[in-house]
Amino acid sequence: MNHIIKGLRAEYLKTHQTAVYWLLLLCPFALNILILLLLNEAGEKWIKNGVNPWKILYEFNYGLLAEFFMILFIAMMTSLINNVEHKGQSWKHLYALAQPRWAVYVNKSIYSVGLLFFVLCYFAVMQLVTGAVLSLLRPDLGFQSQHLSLNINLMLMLKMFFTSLTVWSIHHWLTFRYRNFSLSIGIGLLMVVFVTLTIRSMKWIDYFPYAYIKQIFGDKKGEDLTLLSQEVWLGIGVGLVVWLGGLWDARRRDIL
Amino acid sequence: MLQRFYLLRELKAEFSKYRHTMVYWLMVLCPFAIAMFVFVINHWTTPQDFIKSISEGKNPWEIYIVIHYRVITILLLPLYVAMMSGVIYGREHRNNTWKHLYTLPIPQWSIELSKHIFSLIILMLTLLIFAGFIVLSGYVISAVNPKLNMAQFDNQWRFNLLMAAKVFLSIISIWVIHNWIGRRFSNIGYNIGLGLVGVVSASILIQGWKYVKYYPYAFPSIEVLNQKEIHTLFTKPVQYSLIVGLVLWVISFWDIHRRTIRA
Repeated sequence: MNHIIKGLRAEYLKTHQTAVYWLLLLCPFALNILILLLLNEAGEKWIKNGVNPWKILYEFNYGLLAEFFMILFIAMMTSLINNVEHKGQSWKHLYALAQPRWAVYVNKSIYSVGLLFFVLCYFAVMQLVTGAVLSLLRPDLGFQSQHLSLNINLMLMLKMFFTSLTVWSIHHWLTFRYRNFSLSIGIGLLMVVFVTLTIRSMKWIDYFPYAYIKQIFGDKKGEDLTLLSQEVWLGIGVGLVVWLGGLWDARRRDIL
Repeated sequence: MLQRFYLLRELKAEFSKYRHTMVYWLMVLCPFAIAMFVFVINHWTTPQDFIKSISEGKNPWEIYIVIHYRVITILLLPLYVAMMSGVIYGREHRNNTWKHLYTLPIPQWSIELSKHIFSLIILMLTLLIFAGFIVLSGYVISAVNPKLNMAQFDNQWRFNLLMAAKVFLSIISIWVIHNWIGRRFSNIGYNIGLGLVGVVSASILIQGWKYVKYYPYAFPSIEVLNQKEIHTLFTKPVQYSLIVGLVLWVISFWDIHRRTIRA
């Protein structure tokens, strides 16, 4: 436990005020601003017939994340976190420290997953701010008079986090092993394209790791959401298996 | 006269620097992967409008080519450009060779310009390779799937190259932005992050923003989605892209010129 706490503090110090830091804060912020712009410009296109505008706002935001942002963001985030060590050639140093070999991987994993969760929470809160701003800019959309439906926001956020765990563990392993930045981003990019193209045509795509995130909205729009559905279990389960593979690999790794 | 030789020499050096690196592999593998995905999906689903157009005796190649360019332009190319310029400049940043380059008896503009030309050549080659893969994929799909027999029609390579040129010209302004960022910052994350936000924002804003036609990241998407002017080369997005690209390029050149180098 001691190793983990010390390691996490070290991880924080290493990435403090680097590109990771700013990207994590600015990327969700940029998305929220964009949604704000769009709904301010043409909100009546989607918010009509007395539907709850907050629900539309949440679905819009998380839909965008699921569409292609999430996978690429994870690919980028894990690369940046692990690249600190690749760039500083400090893997040898890390493995030579007076801590068990597994601690190197576990510390990085906890820190990285924690950041992912933090970003999603931040994103969820920012949406409330977006809605509040919209209620001032466009009172006719009705953000001020409707129920906040916080449970939908929270549910979508948690589902998104759990379903993205598999993608996270794959990319964490990849970037832990390989220095090359473009490998992780390239694979992420190609998988996004592949999943976007195949999601409607093949049945087995439901079990494909990169497609879990796209299923968080359920089969039909308007259906009641359940937290522990198939893709969430798959996301956690497969993610855990891949992560254990990464841990095994990190323990036997040779640093050349 | 002599100065022209500097540029040629530099360009030759660029090609040898990047031989057998990720840049070359990306150049071949990305178009291949996209062509492969589109091929596989068409093979699985056998779209009805294809079969209809073939049975009516119309040439299906045009639809097939446009589908390919839409997929690569909307989803892949802006991020590919970000990644490519990040990797190209990353090599100099990583090895700390900027100081060395500047002390060489070569004018500074030649150092920068040769990198720009090299990067543009790679981008153009990527699109040409992609055009080749489209033709290949069309013939393979007619051999594999008898319902989609496109081999009996003319493969419209002129239209294929025209699409490649349109995409290339409309992506110039994005290339200039990422080229600048890649040159300025040693961290490739900025480049990819900006590309990501750019692609996502273009895909949102294209749904309803008034001024989206002036937004650099939306130029390529507007260009390939515009069905009416699909046969003209210098459409509005291409013109905007060239103008914006040129302005930003001049600013970036000036900015790099006045910059000091830190280790």
